[in-house]
Amino acid sequence: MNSRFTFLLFLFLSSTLLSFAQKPTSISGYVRDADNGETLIGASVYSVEYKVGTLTNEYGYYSLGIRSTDSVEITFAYSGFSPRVFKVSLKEDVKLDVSMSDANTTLEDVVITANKTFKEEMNSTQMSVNTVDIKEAKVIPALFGEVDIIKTLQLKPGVQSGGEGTTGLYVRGGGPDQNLIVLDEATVYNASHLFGLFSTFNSDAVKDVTLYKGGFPAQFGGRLSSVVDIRLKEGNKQRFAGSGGIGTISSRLTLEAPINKGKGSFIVAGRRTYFDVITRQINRIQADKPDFNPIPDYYFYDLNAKANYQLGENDRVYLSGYFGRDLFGFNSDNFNFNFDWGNITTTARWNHLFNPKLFLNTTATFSDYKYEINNSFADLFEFKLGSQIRDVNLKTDFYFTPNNKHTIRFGAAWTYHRFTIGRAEVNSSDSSFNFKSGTDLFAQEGGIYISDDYIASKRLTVNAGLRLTGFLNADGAFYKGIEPRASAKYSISEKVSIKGSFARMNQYIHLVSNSGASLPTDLWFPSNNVVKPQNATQVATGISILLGDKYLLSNEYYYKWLGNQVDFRDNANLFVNENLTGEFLFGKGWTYGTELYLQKKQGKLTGWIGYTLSWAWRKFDGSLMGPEPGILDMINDGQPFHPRYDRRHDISVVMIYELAKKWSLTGTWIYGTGNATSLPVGRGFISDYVTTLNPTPGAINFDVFGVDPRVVPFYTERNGFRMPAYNRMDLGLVYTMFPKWGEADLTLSVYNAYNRRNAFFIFFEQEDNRIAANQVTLFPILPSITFNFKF
Amino acid sequence: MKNTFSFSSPLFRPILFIAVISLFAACSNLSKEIDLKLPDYERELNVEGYLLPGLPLYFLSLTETVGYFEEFDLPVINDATVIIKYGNEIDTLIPVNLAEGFVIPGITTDTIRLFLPGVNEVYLGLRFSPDNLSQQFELTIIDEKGGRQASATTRLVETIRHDSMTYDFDAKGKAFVLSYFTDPAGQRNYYRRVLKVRKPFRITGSQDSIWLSDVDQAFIFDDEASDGEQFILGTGFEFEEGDTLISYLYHIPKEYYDYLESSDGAIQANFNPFAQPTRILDNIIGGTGIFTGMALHVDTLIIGK
Repeated sequence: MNSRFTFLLFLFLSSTLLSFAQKPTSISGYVRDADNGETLIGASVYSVEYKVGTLTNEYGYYSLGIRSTDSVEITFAYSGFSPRVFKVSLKEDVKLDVSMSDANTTLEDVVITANKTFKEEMNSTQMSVNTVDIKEAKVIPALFGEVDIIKTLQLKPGVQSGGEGTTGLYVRGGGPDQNLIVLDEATVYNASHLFGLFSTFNSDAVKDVTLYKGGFPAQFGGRLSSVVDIRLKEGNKQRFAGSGGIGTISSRLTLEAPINKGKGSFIVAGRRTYFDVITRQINRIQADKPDFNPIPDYYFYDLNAKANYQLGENDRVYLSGYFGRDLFGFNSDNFNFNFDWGNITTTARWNHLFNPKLFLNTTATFSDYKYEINNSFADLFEFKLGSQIRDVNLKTDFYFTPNNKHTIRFGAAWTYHRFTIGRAEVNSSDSSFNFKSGTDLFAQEGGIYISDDYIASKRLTVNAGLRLTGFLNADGAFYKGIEPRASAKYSISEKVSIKGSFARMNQYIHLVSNSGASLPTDLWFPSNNVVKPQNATQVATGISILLGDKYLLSNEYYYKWLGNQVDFRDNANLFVNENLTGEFLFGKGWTYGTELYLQKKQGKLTGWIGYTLSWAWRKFDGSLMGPEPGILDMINDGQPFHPRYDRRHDISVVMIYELAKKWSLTGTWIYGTGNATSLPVGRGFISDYVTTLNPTPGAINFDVFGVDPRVVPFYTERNGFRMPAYNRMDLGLVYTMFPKWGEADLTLSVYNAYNRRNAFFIFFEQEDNRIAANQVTLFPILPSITFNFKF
Repeated sequence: MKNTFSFSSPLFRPILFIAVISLFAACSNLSKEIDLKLPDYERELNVEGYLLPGLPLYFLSLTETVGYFEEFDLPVINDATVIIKYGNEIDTLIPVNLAEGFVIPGITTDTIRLFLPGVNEVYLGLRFSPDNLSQQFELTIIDEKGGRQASATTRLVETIRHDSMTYDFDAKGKAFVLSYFTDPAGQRNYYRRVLKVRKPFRITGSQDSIWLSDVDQAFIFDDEASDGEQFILGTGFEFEEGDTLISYLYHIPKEYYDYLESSDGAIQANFNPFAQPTRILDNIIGGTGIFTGMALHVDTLIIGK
């Protein structure tokens, strides 16, 4: 089926090349925010008269082909901004950079309707995509008042969190390892702080967040279930500006300014928690108490920095970086334990405009994630443990707009991976004992792609693409992948469009984790001769309907086949294991469901309601483990089972209501079917007795004693039970102030407003001869206050 | 109009009220008992039998598993037929009650009373070939009342000896102990180390002491990362002058290692939300539990000055 599809795709792309012979004029340029000069991603640029349009790309650039004409009206629209209309003479190619103003601050008396705001969503062939409006994300109530863009994504249909308050993403039945998270095009391997409670992204520094759940554009590859594309701000090109906040657990500060009169700009943003400041004081005060155990030190921080500079009319360079660390430490007289982990990413980017129709982006990125545990015991032994993944990536992307019917993207990417797996070192101070283990693994991953967004008619738009990928392990294992991508939109009317998509994905690296949570000690492992790449094929179809003038209703259906899925043997040693390959199990999966999404973006009341009905399955029957699989090569005796994040019903309601100019009331409500879980069905007693010769003289010559007598639970079916259903309401109240120096707000968040006792996990307690099941709630009602400012 | 936030604002008071109420509620208990419905459970034979070379006898305990929420009064099966075959020999085990006392036929005429944790009624075996490592032992259990039958096989393993034991003190006079042994190269070996400490315990109001024994350590490990190397097993600074440390080094087969590890994993999953619950890897056909051979070497160290 794939080869036939590939042939049709080449036929389609060939027809595209033939159409280059036509030579329409074009209008092109950048679309920016008038307030700070930031480029706007995904702004709509269109001509009502000619019924043609396009969107600005990830760098804010657009190019629209239109037949030569004396006068044409071009409209620029972007969500939350007042649209602008320009009358342009198109006798020859025109370059037009446009600045757009925030709808709330513009002086123009423009009536904005949701219809215009939703236009890009209705017209795009791209489906299964969610974006986060950073302004919205900042006012939605949050745990401890910490604005988190990943948690905002979890409120979108088709996206789930792994557990209470955590930032793991589970998209359309996929695992948390199947998401590609890129920050300014550099891969972020562990996107969380504090064992998953907060994401690594400082919302003050983020400009745009786009989540692809299906219908993946051909420029993306390497993961099965989603792509989270996060773009950092570029820095204010007009003036020195700053923003920040003081919250319950952390504070943050962002500074930005122009370079050389707006030829460039920079932004620096930092954030740090202060649990440790408080705990150190407690430790200091309590230090003299004889039985006092010091509280461990913990804090995290992150730093984003970015600069850009225009070298000439057609060239701009960017340099951006992220550095974040979590640090945990416990130190006493005889025992020192220090554990730190974090990401580093850097991106160097060059944008070049060959001509108005051909735009180039070339990027070099570096990604690094590592954790280190340093442990010493009474200056006698030292124990170190760590793992790391380090990537160097080069990629180039071309955007070619030959005429008003085609927008072609093509490019290539190459990544060099280095994995350090379970590096452990134990040394004694007298050098009598030294132990080292750990493996360095190397691999290369590459891909080339081409895609065309083709306006076939006034009603039909098609995007067809092909990505060819390859993966070479240093041990010689080589895998290749053919990944056709296609999507289409058909407008039944101005208010109704239907869409469909197909995408094939391969994933060559795998997360080694059986915890079900995002832990810093989870490590990545490359495909090799035994561990084959994972793959997925997803089809989706959907309909978008504009209801009246203010609401957009979308409904999508999807089915996803998952091949070569990875799991681990029961009791697998994933921590320090020279033979990690032997712990893998391989199986398959399938997921399906439907998502309803109702949005309202304008008016005093804005927000959305999302509902997802879905099923996720996995099957590890040993058939991929060899010709004669044993019971240990299977999970759940080879029968299908639900992964723990299978969720039948998932509802999220997000509302933002502007009470008055200075007051906003915000609220979210979520409901989800309980996670699938394994529960014990029986129990038995292990005496754990040992018979030995008795060393005591004069006694009988044997001895019997119990080493560790215990009652053991018996688990049978994997994830055969459900946790109680989850629901929670969060409320927020935002008071905005307008002091002379800028703008500030005081935000009150109440997490879990009706103090629902949601089950984070279930544990069992023995009371005499009886066992009682108990559920533990992680967060009760939690209020927090944050002061935010900008100038 | 003032453009700054005022703490006397009428809307601030409700905010403060909400915050105080919320903080109060936040201090309440976060754990509560819930009602879980589990499917009907069919009880199984639960076997524990360990064979060690060099001992005059061995025991086998036979109990039943129960449904998870059933009251647990340790249902013992004391009227089953338990047979161990090895080569041409057949040993039919004798049911005995350890707490009431028993006589070992051919070994002692005295009545012996023993304490085996949790189980008093066990089966006593007196005959098996202790030194033949290639010998297979076959266990058969027939529970006529319950209409059940269970079986298992195992072999003995070679003894791995301690090299030595040493100790040293810290500045506060507490000692730690190191035990050394050398792993045989070229094969995967599995171990269980048990450390017992015997301490003199002063009787209150008296000059007399009694000796109390306690298991200080019990853990399993393998030689995957250090095949053929010398192993050093350490303790914390927790011992005092006069303590006797008894190190039991068990060389165990993989099936027993898997059994111990998986039962630990199952217990962990009961309270660790991040653990993947695991099924217990046993070697009993028609039931659950373990029937295994193993080898033991014991070394003793008395903490001096």
